[in-house]
Amino acid sequence: MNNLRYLIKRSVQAALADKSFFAGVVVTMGITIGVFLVVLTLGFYMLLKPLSYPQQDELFVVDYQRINQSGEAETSFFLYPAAEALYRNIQSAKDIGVKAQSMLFFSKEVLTSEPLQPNLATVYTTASTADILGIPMAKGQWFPPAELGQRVPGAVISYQVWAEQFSLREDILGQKLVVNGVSHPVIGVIQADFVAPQLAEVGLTTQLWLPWDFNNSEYKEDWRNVEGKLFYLIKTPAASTGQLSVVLSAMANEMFRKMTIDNQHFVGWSADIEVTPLRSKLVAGNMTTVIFLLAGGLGLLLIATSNITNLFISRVVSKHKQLAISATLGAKKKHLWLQMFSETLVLMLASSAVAVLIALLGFGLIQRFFSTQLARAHEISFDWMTLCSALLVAVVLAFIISLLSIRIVNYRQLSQSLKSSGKGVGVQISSGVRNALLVSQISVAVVLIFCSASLIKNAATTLQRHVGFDSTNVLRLEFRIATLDWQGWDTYAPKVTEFRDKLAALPEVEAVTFARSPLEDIYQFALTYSGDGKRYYPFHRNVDHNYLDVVGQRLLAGQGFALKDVQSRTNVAMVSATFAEQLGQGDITSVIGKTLAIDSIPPATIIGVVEDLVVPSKAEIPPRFYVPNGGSALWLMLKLKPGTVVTREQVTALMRDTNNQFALTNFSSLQADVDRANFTHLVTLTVAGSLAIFTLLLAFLGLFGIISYGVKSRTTEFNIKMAIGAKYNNIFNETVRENISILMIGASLGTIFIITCLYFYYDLLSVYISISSMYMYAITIVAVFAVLILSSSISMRTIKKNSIVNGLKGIAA
Amino acid sequence: MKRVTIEMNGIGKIFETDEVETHALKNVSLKVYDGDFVSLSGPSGCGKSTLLSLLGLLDTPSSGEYKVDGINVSNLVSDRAAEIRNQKFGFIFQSFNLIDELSVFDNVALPLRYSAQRFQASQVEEQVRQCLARVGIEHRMNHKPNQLSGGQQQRVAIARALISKPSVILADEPTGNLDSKSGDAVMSLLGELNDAGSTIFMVTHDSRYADFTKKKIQMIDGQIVA
Repeated sequence: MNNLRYLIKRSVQAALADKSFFAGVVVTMGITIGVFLVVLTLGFYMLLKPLSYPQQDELFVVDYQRINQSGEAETSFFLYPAAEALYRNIQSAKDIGVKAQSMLFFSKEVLTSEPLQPNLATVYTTASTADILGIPMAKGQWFPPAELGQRVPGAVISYQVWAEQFSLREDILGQKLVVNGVSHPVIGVIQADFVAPQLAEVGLTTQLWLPWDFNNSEYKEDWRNVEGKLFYLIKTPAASTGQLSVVLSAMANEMFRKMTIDNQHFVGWSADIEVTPLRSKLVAGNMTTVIFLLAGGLGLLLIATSNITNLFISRVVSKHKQLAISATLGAKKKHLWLQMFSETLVLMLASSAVAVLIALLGFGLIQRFFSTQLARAHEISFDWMTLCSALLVAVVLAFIISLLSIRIVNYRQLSQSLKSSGKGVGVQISSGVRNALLVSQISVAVVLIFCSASLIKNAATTLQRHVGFDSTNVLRLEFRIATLDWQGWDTYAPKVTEFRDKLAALPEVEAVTFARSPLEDIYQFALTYSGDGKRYYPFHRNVDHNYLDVVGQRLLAGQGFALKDVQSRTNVAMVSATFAEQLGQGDITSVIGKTLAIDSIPPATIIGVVEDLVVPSKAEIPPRFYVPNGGSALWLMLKLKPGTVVTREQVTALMRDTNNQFALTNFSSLQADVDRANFTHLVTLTVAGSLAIFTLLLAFLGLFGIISYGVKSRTTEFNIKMAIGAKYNNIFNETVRENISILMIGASLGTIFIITCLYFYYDLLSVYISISSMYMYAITIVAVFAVLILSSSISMRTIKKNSIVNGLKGIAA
Repeated sequence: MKRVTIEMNGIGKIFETDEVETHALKNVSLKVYDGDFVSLSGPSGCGKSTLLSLLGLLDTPSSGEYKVDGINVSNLVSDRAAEIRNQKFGFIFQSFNLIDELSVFDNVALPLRYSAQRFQASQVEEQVRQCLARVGIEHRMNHKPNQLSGGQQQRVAIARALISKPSVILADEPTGNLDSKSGDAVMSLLGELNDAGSTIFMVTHDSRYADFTKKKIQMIDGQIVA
């Protein structure tokens, strides 16, 4: 026990004795282990951690596939009527092993009964969902059992909606919520900690639950088109899923064939059912990301461990005398290793403490910024798994590093080295191994820094480029006709126009346009250009005559739409500069007067060429064309007068005043949308910048460790040279010259690796490669060179500080 | 009249640690003339090696004045001290201090590479060959030091000390790591060099070899006593 206490005390003292070494190791390994813990925890939640639902291993998602004549799966979403038919079949079937089943229809609905018309993430579902998912109620109850088609209204809200929309009012039960013109009494509130499965969209937390029968699917009787918002859950013992798939496939196939027997298109088609564990289904879209992240985190840990091991090796060399004395006094190799292991463990535990803080920060950032990109990210938190991983990583790394460090100690020579000249023959690694380490460090640094620099350049360029429109003082709003009894567009169009006129009449509003956000490319059409008779596939936008003025998009040639073009839907079109260049083969004005023919629609004459829109989420600018929209739509943009504000309340009041079925689904500033679209690039810039800095730090530590070892093992040589007249600069320059040749070899290997990657993955990487990549490469080489010089300079300081006499005797400064 | 090559007046050297101040040399004064062969001896810890380090500009004195060929070198900056060392001194160490990675030729040529004067490759080769021939080890020119015996390594070290035609050869226990036969051979070589005009200042604790020199200095407790 006393020995252990002594060992620990001595290890802590040794770790703290060299404060710069302590800080270097703890910062580097702290950041690295921290990043590793974040990705490890992320991987654990996505790949291994059970869901929080009762008997979660019995929960499965039923996938409905349509197989074409060639045996290929055409679609993997349910046909709406097929889902309902299957639901009824399973209900009436006996002994097929399904304990419970439920259908979920994901939607976004506007509460038109509330003054601010909040837009809520909604799930229409059947009664047994509560049993399947174990939904805990904070208040009231879940939907009572009901047959499909019974249409019993009722609403269950999330705790968050109760708090935010209803201020936790006690009399919430019985309150009426109007959705799509139907009044639903609130019958229950779900407990705050329940999270519904995010099947339709990662990060979308369900706020409102409504009975299945009230969903507004457009495909209720459609046996041709799938319903992408519909998901089907069953609860069944895992062992029976194979047999169950066969039974359900037979049911689904029989119904599909029966319902499509008259349709020639589906001759030879069949329906098939696949049963997938809910846990796998939830993370399916993120598997590649998680594997890449885990590989990246592990790679970073390996690089950092390799660098830190070099530092430790260098430290072992400097402690040669201490080791020799211990060996002379009877310490066996295992004693020396134990001392080294305990010293390393102290440093690794300190690093893990920093890592835990980094991980906490990382979890916060993931929940704040990536909960809509990474499945189950909202669940991630610091727990025992993270803490145990941190401790385990510390112990394993201490073991590996101490083992690698002790390998350079030649115990037999060490115990005799006190008798010799003190050149440290007992602790040596060959210059070949040292150079190989340097080369590998440099090549890895070149690759990582070049990649980071290219990402930074790409992200910075994207952030800086002109988007092609002016988002200042522009508001974007979208609304829907909240009804389950659709009367046709012509019924609503006059009211929509009236609403537009009311908005335009507001004193704050300068102009109004019926158009979608410039950031949204939704529809693409195949069309034929009269200039060359070829087919093109540009994005399509419907806009009115005010569009260009509202968004400040410049007209480059010809003219824009006039009021008459919109009112009478004249067959005219505008094209974007990119599309005009494609059509006119470089001469954008030559397209004016030519026509674009969409199938089965009269050709539209091109009357203008407009500036390109640069959508931040797109690496390349696609071709676009614009046609008049007829003067009404469910989306508008408002140009406000400088210094004025229009609130959501104003808009909803005008909307209700026009038609109480109008429900506002989106209200935001265009600038906010631009910022949101740029967010990924901003994150890329930040992450790549951090990676570049961290790589430089790692490269510095790695090179410093190796060079420092080299300098220490050559101390006598340098002092001999200085004794016979070499100046310090002569020695320094010699060392740098030797290292530059190694730099060139390392840089060449890194370059070959980069070129090889470009060769094999050019399509993927070409976005990031341009002429400026040469500058990035030059910057990379200069940065690595600077790191090399700095490492050499700091390593050589000991030679400069120490007297030649001491140096010749092997006494450190 | 002989020229004074080395002149020390009132040289002191104090080594300071946090708690202890050690006076390694106290008021040392000496003169070495051109062509002298001086031995410095005394008990362990008397300051012999410290004095030799100061003589060779490997360290700086705490007090006093030191001149080499009339140039005051008491407190030179390190680069200037390196130049003087290169031009004025040749070093012979007890443990030879040859660089294992370099051949005998390259070890001997090393001082020329750090000289302020630029030498052609042919000049370097000629001078190295001459020096190696002078110490009788030319035939081992392409060998590495660890392929030579101790006596041969010390001959290489002597050749290296001669290459820049120094004013003084400083030898620190040149026979200390050698058997008596090799030691005698080295001493006889140093005697020949001195006869040929080289000035030699040698630290030794072996009275037999001290007797071999023309002038003997005795040190005790950091002071010259005889």
